[in-house]
Amino acid sequence: MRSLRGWLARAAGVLSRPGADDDLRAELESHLEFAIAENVRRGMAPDAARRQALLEAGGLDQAVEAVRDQRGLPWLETFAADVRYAVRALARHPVVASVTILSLAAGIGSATAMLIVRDAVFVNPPPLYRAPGQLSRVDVGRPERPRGSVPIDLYERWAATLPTGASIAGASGGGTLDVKTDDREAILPVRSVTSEFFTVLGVDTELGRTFAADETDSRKRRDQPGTLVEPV
Amino acid sequence: MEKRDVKQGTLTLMILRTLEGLGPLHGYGIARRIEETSNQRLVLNYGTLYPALLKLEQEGCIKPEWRQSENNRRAKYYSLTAVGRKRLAEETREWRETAELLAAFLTPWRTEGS
Repeated sequence: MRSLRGWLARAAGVLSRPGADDDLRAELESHLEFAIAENVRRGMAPDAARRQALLEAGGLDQAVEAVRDQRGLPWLETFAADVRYAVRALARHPVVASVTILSLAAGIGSATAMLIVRDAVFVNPPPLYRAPGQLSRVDVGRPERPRGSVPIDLYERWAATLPTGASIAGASGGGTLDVKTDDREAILPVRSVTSEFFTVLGVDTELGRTFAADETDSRKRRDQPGTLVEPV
Repeated sequence: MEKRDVKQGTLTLMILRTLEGLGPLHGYGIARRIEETSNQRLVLNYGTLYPALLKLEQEGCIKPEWRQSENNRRAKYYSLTAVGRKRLAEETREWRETAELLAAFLTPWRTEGS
């Protein structure tokens, strides 16, 4: 509390009241006169009395400087002076200043834009799946191939013993295939998936349909319809 | 005895105590009084005294006022405020404790059984 009050008074002192220095000078003068009068009263000659008083004062200008430092916040004043100097220097060379400012602005702006795009694409991509936080990918690995595929028998056992509320889907490692639609033909990446795939991920198809009820037996996988989720 | 400068942090207490004892006083009066009380062992130059006075003023402990002195000179008189009185009580207690603590350390060691 004590220091806050003092600090506020000092911050206000930065906007130095014009009379403050005069007031201080007058105060120091009056101090000096008291000292001179005292020396004279002790029997000194006026000149010697003044000299002695000044000697004991320890420098009037230093005192004014020390009080000024206490009045304001020296570092804030120095900073303000630096800013004023910089503005004046820039105003003297407007072309150099504007080129500098524009290139800094362009540099900072493009870097910011790039980082925003990177953030959107790689760090926080828009949600592709319904609940990405609840999805897990499971691989069965061996030391020489840590991200191997899950054997179908194991997958079926997992599917049969799932806790309520959980669901599971499988997808193969994928390749490419010539895909023909009505009006065009393209080589697209494909992968075969189990019938639960779309419901587990919570995605729908771009074209075509997902699996029908009688197509869900995994043993009839070969007869499944071609489905285009999304051209990648 | 050699003259010495005022130790950092002790001047506040000296100023407040002087104003409490003598009532409103100008800078010269305060300086003289402190030098007398110290038996002329302390010297107070302007550069030490006036920043300290301003600091106390900024903290609301003392209040300045220009008025006529007894020998008809204009001088800035400082008087103790309520905040200043509270501060003086605090500082007095703190310095007493510090002094007692140091005194305990500075008494000659007595060996066991002597």
